[in-house]
Amino acid sequence: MKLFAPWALWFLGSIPIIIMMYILKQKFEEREISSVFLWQQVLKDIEVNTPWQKLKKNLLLLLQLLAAFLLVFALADPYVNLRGSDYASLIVVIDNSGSMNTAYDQATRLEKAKDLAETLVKNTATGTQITLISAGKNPKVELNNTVDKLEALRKIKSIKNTNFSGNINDAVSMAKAISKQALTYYAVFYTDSGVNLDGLNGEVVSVAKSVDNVSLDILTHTVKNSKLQLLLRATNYGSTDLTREVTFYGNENVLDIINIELKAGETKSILTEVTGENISYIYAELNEEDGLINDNMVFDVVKTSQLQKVLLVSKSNLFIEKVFSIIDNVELYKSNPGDEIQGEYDLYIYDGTLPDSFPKKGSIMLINPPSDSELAGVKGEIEGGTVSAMQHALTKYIENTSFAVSKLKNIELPYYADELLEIDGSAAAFVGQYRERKTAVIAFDLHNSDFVLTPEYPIFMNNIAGYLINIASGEKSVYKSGEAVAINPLPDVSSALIESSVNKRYDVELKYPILPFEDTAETGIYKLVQKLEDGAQQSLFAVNFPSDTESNTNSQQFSQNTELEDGKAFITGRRIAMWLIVLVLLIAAVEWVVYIRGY
Amino acid sequence: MSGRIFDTEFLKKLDTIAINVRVLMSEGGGGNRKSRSKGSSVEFSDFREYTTGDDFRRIDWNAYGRFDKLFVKLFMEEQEAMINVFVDSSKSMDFGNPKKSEVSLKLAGVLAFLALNNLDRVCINSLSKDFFKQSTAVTGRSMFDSCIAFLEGISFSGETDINAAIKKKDVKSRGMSVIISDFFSPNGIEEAIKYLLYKKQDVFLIHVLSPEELNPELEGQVRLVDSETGKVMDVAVTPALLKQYHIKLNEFNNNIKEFCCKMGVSYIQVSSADSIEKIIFEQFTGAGVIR
Repeated sequence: MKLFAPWALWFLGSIPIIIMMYILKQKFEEREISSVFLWQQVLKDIEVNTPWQKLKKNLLLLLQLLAAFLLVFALADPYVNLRGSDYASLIVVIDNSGSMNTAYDQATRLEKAKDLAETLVKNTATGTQITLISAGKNPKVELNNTVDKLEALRKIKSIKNTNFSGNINDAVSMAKAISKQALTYYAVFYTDSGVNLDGLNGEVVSVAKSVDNVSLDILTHTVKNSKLQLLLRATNYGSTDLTREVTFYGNENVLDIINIELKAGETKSILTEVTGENISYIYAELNEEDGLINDNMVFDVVKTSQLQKVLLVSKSNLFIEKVFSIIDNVELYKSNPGDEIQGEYDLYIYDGTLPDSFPKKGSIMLINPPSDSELAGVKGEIEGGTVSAMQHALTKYIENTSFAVSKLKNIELPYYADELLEIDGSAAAFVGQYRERKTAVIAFDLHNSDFVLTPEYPIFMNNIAGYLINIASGEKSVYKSGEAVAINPLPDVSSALIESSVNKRYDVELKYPILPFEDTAETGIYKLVQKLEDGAQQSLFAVNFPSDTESNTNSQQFSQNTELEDGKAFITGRRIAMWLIVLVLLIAAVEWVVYIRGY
Repeated sequence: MSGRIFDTEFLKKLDTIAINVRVLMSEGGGGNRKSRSKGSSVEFSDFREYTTGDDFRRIDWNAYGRFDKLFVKLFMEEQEAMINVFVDSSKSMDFGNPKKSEVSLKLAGVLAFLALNNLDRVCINSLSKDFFKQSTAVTGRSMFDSCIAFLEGISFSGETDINAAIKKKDVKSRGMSVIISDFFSPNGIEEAIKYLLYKKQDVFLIHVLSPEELNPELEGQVRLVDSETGKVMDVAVTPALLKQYHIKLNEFNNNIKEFCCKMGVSYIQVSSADSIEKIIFEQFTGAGVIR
């Protein structure tokens, strides 16, 4: 037993005061009676009959003293150790990743975890340093080394559920780092996934319990002859075979309803064809609730991009013409160097040539620029070599490419650009945004390279085109919850805002470099509205639940952890102040009875 | 003692009481007190054979004629009875509302009046500590005033040992002894009663208690002060304790009553709040003191 507030024992001084008051209170009302003869006999009789009379005479006093003692004791906040010893520091880790939304027994795993954590904190010795970590997408220290239990309880309550995919083991390393500050510590993890404590002193309280769950993992589509072909992938994470009804919606209108039969643990893809016009987004929903409802919907955006005009200024370059001809939604125009350019284009490609001045609007792509320009400083020509791809979003799928270039322009990488291809330390291709204009530069003539013969060439060109112009294939439009969404505003955008699936609005700060949009906690369809000089353009993107990592609600996989059978929290001890106060109240009741009945 | 006890109103009452008592007496067919000894009254009692020395004027010649033997007629001797009234004059008697002393003195007065009316000799004794103070034994109605004067002169103080005090009284002749007291005497009264019975007395106990003693109205922490000894007792008065008190009081009364019954002693218990008339006509007659 330990007293958290031993100073309260000073109040024990009240006990002599009570006794004194009792003695002082014993002022008898003096009453003269004829004779005490009978009274003497009465008292003698009572004393003979009840040997405890003397004690009884002071029963009220004794009860009061007991009550006072218990009150003081309660004030001193006694704490009874039930097991183990006290720790200087307590690290509480609560997993709030997407799978913690799984519900059973009318509460989600997260709610259960929070309840258990609250009980733990309440019963922790006062003065213990409490650290609270929430483990969602990334481990986050909610509270560091506080002794304020109320604050800790408040923080625990404020931990919100997320749809993020998270790895609880990241929190282990964070807890480890924090534990180094404390002399003695104990870490408690409330999670539904496996934790490798890795030498950490603590335990894992698993709130996982097997429940049925069917997740809708992916919804994609292709447009064919004004018909939408939908592909849905669903997984049954439960241990029983299930049949589920799925409804497909297009812009909130029901497109189709189908039944899927899923065996335990089976993943199935279903293909269906629907007709619908002017559909901007689609989603599929399970009509039946299960353990985890967050993965019962999956969203996709139907891309309806406008035709993009591309002008190729070149003597002749079949490779470029060919590659742009296979990119959807692009109309390619050709012009000879020196010709006057009529009209506006979304992308200007200057192949081996440079204009006197760049057009005012539109993206620019320079291939083998002959001389200096404001976009790229050319310092002669150098010998080529083997090209390697740099790590970049636009070099996706061509990371392993290897081709040769015989010679190339010696261009120093401008400050605004990101390098894509490199030959012996000099930039062979780069992209960047110069004065709100997207620019791409390829430093060599395509004819001087075998790049065009490799399968990576069309991919690379498609990626660059996607970056430079707003073509459907270029931009990613489906994200997992918690993923950052890269914002690529149109060149002449004046303001932009994002409207989330729950109608929350976020202003996009149009300051370069533009920060990615991070708040993708809610699943659903998000709207990016860009205000242009002539109206506004709206684009959509979908955020889905990370079902691949968070939908597995089968607790079998966590069997290696300490699973507290009845969900009991790890309790180091009990504070008994509340019980003492209850006891004091009982004593007060007894005292009242004693007083009234006059024992 | 204040003279108000025996005021004119009381004296008037006495007359009424005396008349009523007489009515009761005639109904009962009684006369003046009769002695057990045979005497020279007109009332025939018995015959016995003549022996030498008998007054031959009392020989019943008619009987001699019939039986040829000399018989003498025996007659009741009418004797004046000696009535001793013992009044406990301890301090405890001077207590209560109305005071026990008041009713005690009045009862003593009534008894003296009735006795004098009945041509008996009355002696009033006040018991104090372990001795007694007695009035002169008087007879005849005219002496009632002296009784009153004696009664009024009694002062109530100290404690009384009834046993010791009564035993000091040398009761010479047969008669009646009345003890008026609250009997709160640590040594009891048994010895006194036995002594009086030994002295061939008809004993009559009047147990006077005040309403406060019969139904004490106490509560809370009380320091009881004995009016006689000044002894204090701290008592936390609770309903349970009061209940116990009543049990004890009953027990105390019953003990005396039982003892009286055993000894053939008349006993009545009166409250100082009762009226004299009620005590005389209900309780005295009930106990057979007045016939």
